[in-house]
Amino acid sequence: MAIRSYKDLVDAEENGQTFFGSFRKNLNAVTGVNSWFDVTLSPGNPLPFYYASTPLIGAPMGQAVNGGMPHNPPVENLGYKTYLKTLNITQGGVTSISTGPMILMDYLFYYPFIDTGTTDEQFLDNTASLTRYTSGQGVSVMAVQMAGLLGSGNPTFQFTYTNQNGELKTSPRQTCGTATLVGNLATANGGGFSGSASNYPFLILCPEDTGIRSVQSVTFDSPDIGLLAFVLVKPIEQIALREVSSTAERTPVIDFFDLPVIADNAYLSILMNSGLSNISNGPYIGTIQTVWG
Amino acid sequence: MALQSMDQIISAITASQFNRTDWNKNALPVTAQTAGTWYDLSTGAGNPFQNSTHGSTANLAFQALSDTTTTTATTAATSGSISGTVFTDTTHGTNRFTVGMILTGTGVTAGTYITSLGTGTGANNGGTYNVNISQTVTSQTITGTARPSGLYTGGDVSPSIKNVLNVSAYSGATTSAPTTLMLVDQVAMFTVSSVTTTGAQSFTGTQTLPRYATGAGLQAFIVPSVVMGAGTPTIQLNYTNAAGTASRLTPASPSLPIATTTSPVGSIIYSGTGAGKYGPFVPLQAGDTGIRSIQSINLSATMTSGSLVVILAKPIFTLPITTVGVASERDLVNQLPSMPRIFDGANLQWLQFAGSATPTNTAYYGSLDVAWG
Repeated sequence: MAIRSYKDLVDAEENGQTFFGSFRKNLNAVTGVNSWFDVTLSPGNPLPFYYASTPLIGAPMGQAVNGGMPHNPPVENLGYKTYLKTLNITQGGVTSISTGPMILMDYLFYYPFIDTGTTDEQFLDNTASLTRYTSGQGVSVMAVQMAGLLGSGNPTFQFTYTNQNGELKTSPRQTCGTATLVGNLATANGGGFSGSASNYPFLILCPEDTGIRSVQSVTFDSPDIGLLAFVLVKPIEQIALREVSSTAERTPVIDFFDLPVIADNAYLSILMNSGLSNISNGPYIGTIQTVWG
Repeated sequence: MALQSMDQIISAITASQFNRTDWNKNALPVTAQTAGTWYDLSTGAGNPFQNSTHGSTANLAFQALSDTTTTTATTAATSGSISGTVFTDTTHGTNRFTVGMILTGTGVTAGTYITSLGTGTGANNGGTYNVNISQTVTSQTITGTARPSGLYTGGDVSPSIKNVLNVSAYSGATTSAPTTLMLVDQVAMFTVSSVTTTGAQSFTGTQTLPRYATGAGLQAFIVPSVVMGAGTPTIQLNYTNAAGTASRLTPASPSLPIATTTSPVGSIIYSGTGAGKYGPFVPLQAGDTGIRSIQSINLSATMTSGSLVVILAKPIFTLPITTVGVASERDLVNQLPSMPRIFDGANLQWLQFAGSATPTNTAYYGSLDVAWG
């Protein structure tokens, strides 16, 4: 079974195969402009997740254990698939909002406490592995600041990884920005606009690679101060706020025609681009509706 | 087979006949963009990796381009070395080294690639190139491999047909908007390194197009693969149109396209404002709808130095970004019903019209969703 037509979509909802959830994330810091910010670490509902576990040991993420934005329980054992029906977001209470794109993502796996203060090669433990999108096809990796960098001189680093075909690769050199904020992506914040690929949330992979299965090691070219988490994610859908206190709505099947599939046990959270404004402290409130069939 | 209804699109997505790609491209790495000028973003840094095929082939030779195309350049036997982060092509062998080429050879660290030109211009003896990994490699044969690194859209799907569903783009950099992005399928190219030669220069090789075989809808644009020297020649192509008619010429009225002096890598050299400026494509002779093959290029005067690439491309769609810091989105099913087709092997790259003087290394980010059935 699966949703294969508009009728199937309507029937699924009429049969009660739908879930309506809400979320409220309070950004607890003022970001710089043109910065990608991971709201996973922000308080609110759902609870924040800090990527805090044994250093350098990779760990899978999932709704059942870690939470994330609420969506329906697993349905694949019933022969169904889950789809994103609607996603709404409103920023309330402040005058400075994100006007850049936001990306709803399935957070798959993370490597905590990568130390930016050493130039030693830091080897990551991959005893555990991806539990969704297991080949790594379409999976991206981002570097989230767990403790803010200094960012002086735009630090650079490389990492080794296994691509979607199981091949070991050494990444192109990545360039950090200068914004030093927990939750900011290290390589994608306003301070790094002079560096290559600085407006891209994810780390740059080698030519021909279209996904990443695991990260083996990380090596900084010069020492800085700070801690990173490398997080493997699968982007699902984007949405963009354009005005203060005005709700952004995304009904994928109608206004973007992509009806994204959400894997069972997905850990859903949002990556947010601040656009031209600093995102000041304040709530981002929204709803998510899924449907399965 | 083809997607012929909205229900079929939903069904295709459910069956995983769907791909989402998040992409990023940076504009010129060393020179600010000029307002009113078109650029090819494919050779910029970002993800996917930079296109290194431009200018990598022998002078005036035809080269078909697909997503899996590779071209190579080599040093002469035992004439390449790497010291630190500098690769030296002591005695040149074949074709031309370009930025982004992956280097291989005994002792060369895996993943080594050219990050920028030093004194090398692709094929000069003693030319140096900067690489990404510091190492010591003693004299030997070193090979560079170039790939187009187009946007990934899920691979080949034949006999199914792949269509674009939606696209988005964003930039927050100062004066990065207004701008217009154009997605093109780069189908073939010709390196023109003989830029000091005036008069007609004939292209070589059998010109069999990998897609759009008749040339319908294909147009040509010209960018430097090595920064150009001084010179403002007019440019004229002699081509065969999509109907198979030969000896068609770039029209001389109101003016032949005029190159901009010292054009940087990635800029479309005859685009801009003023007389003799066009963009992004070289104008066609009246009545023509595409180019099947190009027989020659004629530069009216020397450009002193540099190297050009003539590229045949199929425009897929355009996406304007109207405002800095505001995401631009386009639904190509409902909002602008078109669902442009992506052929197997497509080499998808972005062209960009700079509506303002956009700073060096300005980053553009976006996504592209496709489905097939």
